[in-house]
Amino acid sequence: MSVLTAENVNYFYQDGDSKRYILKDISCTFKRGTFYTILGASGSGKTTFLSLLSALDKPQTGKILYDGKDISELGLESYRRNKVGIIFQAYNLVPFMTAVENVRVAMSITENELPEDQALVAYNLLDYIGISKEKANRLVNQLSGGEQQRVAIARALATNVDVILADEPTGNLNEEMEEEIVDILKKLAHEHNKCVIVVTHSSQIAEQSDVTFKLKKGNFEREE
Amino acid sequence: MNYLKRAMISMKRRLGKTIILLLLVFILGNIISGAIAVQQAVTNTETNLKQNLPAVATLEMDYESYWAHQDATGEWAPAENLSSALIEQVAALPYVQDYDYSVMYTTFYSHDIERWNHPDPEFEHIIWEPTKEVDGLTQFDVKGIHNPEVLDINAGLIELTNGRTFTEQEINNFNQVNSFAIISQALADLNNLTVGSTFVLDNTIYDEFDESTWNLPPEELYSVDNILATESYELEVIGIFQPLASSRSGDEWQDAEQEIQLANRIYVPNALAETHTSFRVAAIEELGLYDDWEYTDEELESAKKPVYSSIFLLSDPLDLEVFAQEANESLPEFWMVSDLSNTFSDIASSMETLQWLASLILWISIVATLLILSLLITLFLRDRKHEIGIYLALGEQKIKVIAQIILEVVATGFVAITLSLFSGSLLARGISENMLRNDLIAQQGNSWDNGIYYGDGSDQLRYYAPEELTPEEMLENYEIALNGTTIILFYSIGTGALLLSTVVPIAYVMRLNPKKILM
Repeated sequence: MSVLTAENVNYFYQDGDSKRYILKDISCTFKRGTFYTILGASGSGKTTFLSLLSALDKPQTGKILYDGKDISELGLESYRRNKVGIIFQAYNLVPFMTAVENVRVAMSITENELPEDQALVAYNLLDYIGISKEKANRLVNQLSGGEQQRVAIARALATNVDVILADEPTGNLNEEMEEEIVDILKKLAHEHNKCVIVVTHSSQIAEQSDVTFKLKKGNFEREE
Repeated sequence: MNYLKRAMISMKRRLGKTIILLLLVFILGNIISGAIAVQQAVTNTETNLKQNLPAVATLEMDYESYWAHQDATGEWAPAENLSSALIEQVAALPYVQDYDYSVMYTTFYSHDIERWNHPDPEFEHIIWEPTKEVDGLTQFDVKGIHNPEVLDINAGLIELTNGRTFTEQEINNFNQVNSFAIISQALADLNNLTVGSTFVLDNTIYDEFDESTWNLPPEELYSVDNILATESYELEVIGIFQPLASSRSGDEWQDAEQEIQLANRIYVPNALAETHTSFRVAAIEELGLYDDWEYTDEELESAKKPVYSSIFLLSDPLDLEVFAQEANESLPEFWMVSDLSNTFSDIASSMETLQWLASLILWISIVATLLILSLLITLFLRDRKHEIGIYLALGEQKIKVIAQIILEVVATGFVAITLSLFSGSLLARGISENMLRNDLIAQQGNSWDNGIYYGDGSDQLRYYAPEELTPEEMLENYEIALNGTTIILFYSIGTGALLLSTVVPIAYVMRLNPKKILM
């Protein structure tokens, strides 16, 4: 069964009397345990699509369904809080907090049931991702780019969600780090049954995914 | 890591901005704290001064408005004397603990007893005694009283050292043959009088109406040949009094004058004092002098009525103002209630100036605090747009983000306003005391005697509150103290200003879109 579904989603900007479509009538489904990529060139609308999937924006027409329920009925804030974890290209960590504190911020916001000892869970999660306890206690701006992105991944996972959305997660990283991150994301999908959706312009990453969707001039198609 | 913890981490880790906010609130808080402290001090000073005021009042002519009427209309308005009934009406007000009224202008003569003179020759002529140069003749201004207990005893001006006060019957049933008096110890000693002794007072009208008599020497003016009418009253001494130390002001001239007046004071029933007027008017009428003077019927009627002075002792000096308001409603035109609070008009005006200034500073500083803090917090939030965007992207409710901001502002601000509460009061104390002292000293020249602030005080009231009040003594009543009221008021205003200053920043946060910030 699909965890996330886009139904006839349209997103456009009103340009006087005419509409400039970014996304045109997109319908697709996403399942748990699968690593998806959405491939498109810069300006193709892939970040816009991700923002709709992550409830940071709303489609003009159409719906986004989570487990069959319209996310606007679930409440966009509540959806972001409890159903999805978002990883950004620019990491978007709170700069004056440590790595573990950044993870714990997300844990304190979600309403999902979490283990009592959240600090222990956070350290363990970071360790799993490849951030040692010593580094976990450093301010995030004292970590490398790759390490910061790992922290962002840990933050996305910490809330016990089924859907991980990543917007160009390796955009600011070198090739080596990019591979490491992609490996982590694959592991999350295959070993932890998460639905991982990565928006990227890199065909190398797309080749490593289970399903690739292509976005071009607002049109969305699955690549076989 | 809820929003509370996030707030604490934010304040700790972004120390520079926290300190800037703290310093700003501290500076503004000093101004607010100082202004509130001064306001409270002024209110407390006024209350203290009023509480320490003798709670005495009198009814007297409002000469200012009377002359203003004459200036405006060119005519003298008819001046109505107060009746005993009207005085009793005012005395019936609930604030009055005790009262009395006396007939004024009651000069009696005596061949029987001598006047007491001050031993210091410097004060020999402090009170005008026209009969001084007439052998065997003295004059006394008797004090008629309505209150048999003698109000001056209750007011602490005199104490009875021998004998008793009057009875109601003695007050009400005066007759020429059987009347009573209370005299001073000084007068008693001088004239070998004791309780039970008698002496005679004469109600004598000398011919001083004709122009030809105006320049007569005293021995001729007050000679037997110049008497138009006379009648005598024998008075029995029923009590002897001694003036109390509280009646002394510390000023030697004023004290000497009071000493002479009290020493020669004879308390008699009002009825005896009233005979002075009625006898005098009847004699003048019989002589046809009112016709010569072309008195109208109203003028003649008015001349027949005795003129009363009144004294009211209130239960609480703080009731003076409300007593004056209610009593004034009963008084005829050009009459007013006078009390000792009028004598503090100089310090009152200095206090009012300070109060006004403190209020102005308070309001300006509150507005400035709101504007400056709103601006500062909004600017700080602009720097934190990215951080707030992250919280919102993670699904945090906007209300909790707002709560975090408010908590950071209020927690930092609370520390600052607590510090400024003390420093602001200290600063205000120094500045305001200097201002008040300079203002009071500058106004010192208004009083009739340097250091005594009795500029406009009724002569009668002076006897009931004779002590000098120097600027230093007045300033002793001025105290900036951190009492419960000041602290509560300051924290209410301070916290309120902090909260209000978050309104604009909150509006800013409400408009934030995490997508636009982060993507």
